[in-house]
Amino acid sequence: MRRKFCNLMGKSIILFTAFGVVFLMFLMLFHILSESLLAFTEIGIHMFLPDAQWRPVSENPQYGLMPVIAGTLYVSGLAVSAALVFGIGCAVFLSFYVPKQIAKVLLSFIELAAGIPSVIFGFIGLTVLVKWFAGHFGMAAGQSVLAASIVLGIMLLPFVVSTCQESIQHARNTYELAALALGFSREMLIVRIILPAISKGIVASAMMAFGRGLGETMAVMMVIGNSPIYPKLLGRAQTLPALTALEMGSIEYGSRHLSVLYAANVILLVILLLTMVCGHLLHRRALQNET
Amino acid sequence: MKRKLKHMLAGLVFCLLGIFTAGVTLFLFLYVFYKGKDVISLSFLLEEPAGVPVGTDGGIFPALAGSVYLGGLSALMGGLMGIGCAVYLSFYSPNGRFRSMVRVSIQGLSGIPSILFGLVAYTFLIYQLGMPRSLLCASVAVAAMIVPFTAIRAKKILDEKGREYMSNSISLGLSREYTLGRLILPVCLAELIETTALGMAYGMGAVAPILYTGAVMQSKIPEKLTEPFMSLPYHLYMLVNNGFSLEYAYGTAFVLMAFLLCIHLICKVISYFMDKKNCNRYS
Amino acid sequence: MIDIQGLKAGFGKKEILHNIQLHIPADQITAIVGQSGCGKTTFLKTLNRILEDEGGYIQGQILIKDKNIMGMPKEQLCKMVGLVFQQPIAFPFSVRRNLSYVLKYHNRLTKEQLETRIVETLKKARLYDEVKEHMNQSALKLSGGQKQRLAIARSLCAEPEVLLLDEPCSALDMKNTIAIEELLLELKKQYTIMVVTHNLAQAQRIADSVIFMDQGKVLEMTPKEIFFREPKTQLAKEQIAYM
Repeated sequence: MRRKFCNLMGKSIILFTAFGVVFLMFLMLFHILSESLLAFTEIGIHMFLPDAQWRPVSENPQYGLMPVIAGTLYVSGLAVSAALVFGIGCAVFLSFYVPKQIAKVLLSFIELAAGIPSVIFGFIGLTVLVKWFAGHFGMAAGQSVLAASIVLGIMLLPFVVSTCQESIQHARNTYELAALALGFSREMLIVRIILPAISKGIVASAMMAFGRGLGETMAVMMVIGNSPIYPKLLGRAQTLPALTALEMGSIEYGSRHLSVLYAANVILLVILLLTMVCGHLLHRRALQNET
Repeated sequence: MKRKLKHMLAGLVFCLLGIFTAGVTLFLFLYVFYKGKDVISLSFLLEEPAGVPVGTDGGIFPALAGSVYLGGLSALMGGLMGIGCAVYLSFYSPNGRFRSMVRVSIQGLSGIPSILFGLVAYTFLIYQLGMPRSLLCASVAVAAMIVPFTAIRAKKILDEKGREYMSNSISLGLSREYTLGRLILPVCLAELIETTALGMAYGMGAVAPILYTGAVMQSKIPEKLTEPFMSLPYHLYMLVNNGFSLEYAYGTAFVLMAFLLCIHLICKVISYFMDKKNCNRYS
Repeated sequence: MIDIQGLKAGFGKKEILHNIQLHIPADQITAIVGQSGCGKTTFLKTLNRILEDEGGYIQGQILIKDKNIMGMPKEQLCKMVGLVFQQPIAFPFSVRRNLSYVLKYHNRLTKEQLETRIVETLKKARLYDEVKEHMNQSALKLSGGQKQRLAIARSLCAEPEVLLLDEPCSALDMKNTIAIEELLLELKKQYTIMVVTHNLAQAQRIADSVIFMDQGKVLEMTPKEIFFREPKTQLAKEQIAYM
């Protein structure tokens, strides 16, 4: 009898947590969608007109989100591109050009960097990059899309390096012996065999990194200049999460402004969902091609 | 000759990329420690912030304590929920629609940007439910962030170690709950605690969810859950953003990074020793 | 003892077992033989319904001692039908605790009674003499053959009526294989035993009846002597010729 009771207790607790998670997800989705309803119904398409500006507190408020959406995509896209180049290069470097012991240490080190909080990246970006930009590129202050992309790219590096390194190991186990037996040099093995073999994995990692980059708040907020205008490489810009963080504290609850912020986040979530779905489909196709 | 040159060039490119990446990573750590070391003293660590504006003098102890409270509370809530969820996904109900819902929820939550947790907590908990800006409110927001973090890692741990044990145990007529309590959770305990500790480190470093839900620039160490608190990364952000004190900002960054690094290193050391112990067991 | 009618089983859209009809007699060793992938292991897993825990489905009627197992609570069924897996697994406890872990769940015993049961079961599993000095040592240090016998001892702790073994000797050397085979011959006096094996010679050594499967169907079930002399199916003839 006592057994039955203990079993039931245990099962209930576990089911409770499972329900709790589903409840949490639904609660968040519901809340976000309901809060944004006002914006979608009363302002609607005006938020997405390409020449609408972001002027929520002026006499004739405009709630143009396009510049900010563009900024978000631009910064994240640039960051992922940079992170891919350096990340894959580093993963190849660690796998092929460094003795195993040192590679292991370096890899743990790089993965440790993934635990550095976002604020600190922003802080370093501010005191190093932005300061340098201000001096050298003739900008008024150094905050820019370029600075944000570099900072974000560095933040994404550990993720890209570790996922690529895993894929490389896998591909190595499959192909290295055969390639060496055929007399391939190390570079030929890497460029002609390993890289093509992991290309699908790389794309999947890229999508995931892109998704992460889209949602990054603090670091980007500190170095991008927080100007809701269309992004130029050396100019200031704004991203959706940074906009939210910046403005949410000073808005009245129930106002249109707040609702538009929620709508902006709905757009962000939609973009994230599309990214995830793309990545998932590519991953599926990669698996299918292998069988 | 030409081919050899091409190969050498390719090799050089890879090496340069790799060295640059490793160098940048190293730089991150060294820079903060180098710039912050002068500010660090016992009084910096143990005193309250002072000066005009506040934060330009004195110490950061309340922020350190507040961060630990935040991290601990949210890791407790988020970690337990995440582990429970992982247990469900690993061992209960292999088919079924509810299971897919749970899986999708976890994946969904893991993709939501941290600021959204803060925004929802702000409008839902503080405005709609009337909670005060407090440690509790911020902890709930951060805990929600930690749930997918721990759930995904915990599921990996449980699947690796627990699957075979569960099948064998069920075939002996034992219940899943008995097996979990006596066999699987004890075996995985060290790794699960490690995952929760990493979740705590993740939560401690988060600023976006606590911006308007409980963190403030100056307060004493909260004695009740309903009081606001100070947080290290928030303090750092405020010092920098408002231009209060760059010097103290470096010191704050130093302390934050050192603390989190300690947690990570302790976890790595523990898992290294657990691996060794397991190898000895089989000899 | 075990009556199976119209058994179909599989995963999702894939059906692995097609319409199986069998009657398994009590207190005998029934060997299930066939090529790899013919569904032998899946068949075993329907008998204690662990197939469902792995995501599969079971249709049809299975009666063990006239009780329908589809309606029975899982725990009760698994207590009645023990399954020993192919890969010998010792729980990460001491030898003693591996067994008390099972005994404590099913019974309320005093310390002395517990110890007596443990010794009794280890003796039954022909493991006692080898481990009596090491009862408190970690069971992970046992050899493969010892681990497998420990697994059998664990199953016996649940006091089953039926004992299912899935290729119990495939990971073991000759000496340990013979030890386990002798153990099974002893145990059949008390338990109904079904052994899946891909080794026809082993089936010849220990079985009373042989079930021959191919591609998810039972092609024949014949008493041992007749099976190895004059099997009904052509496929069986070919495979015996290769022995």
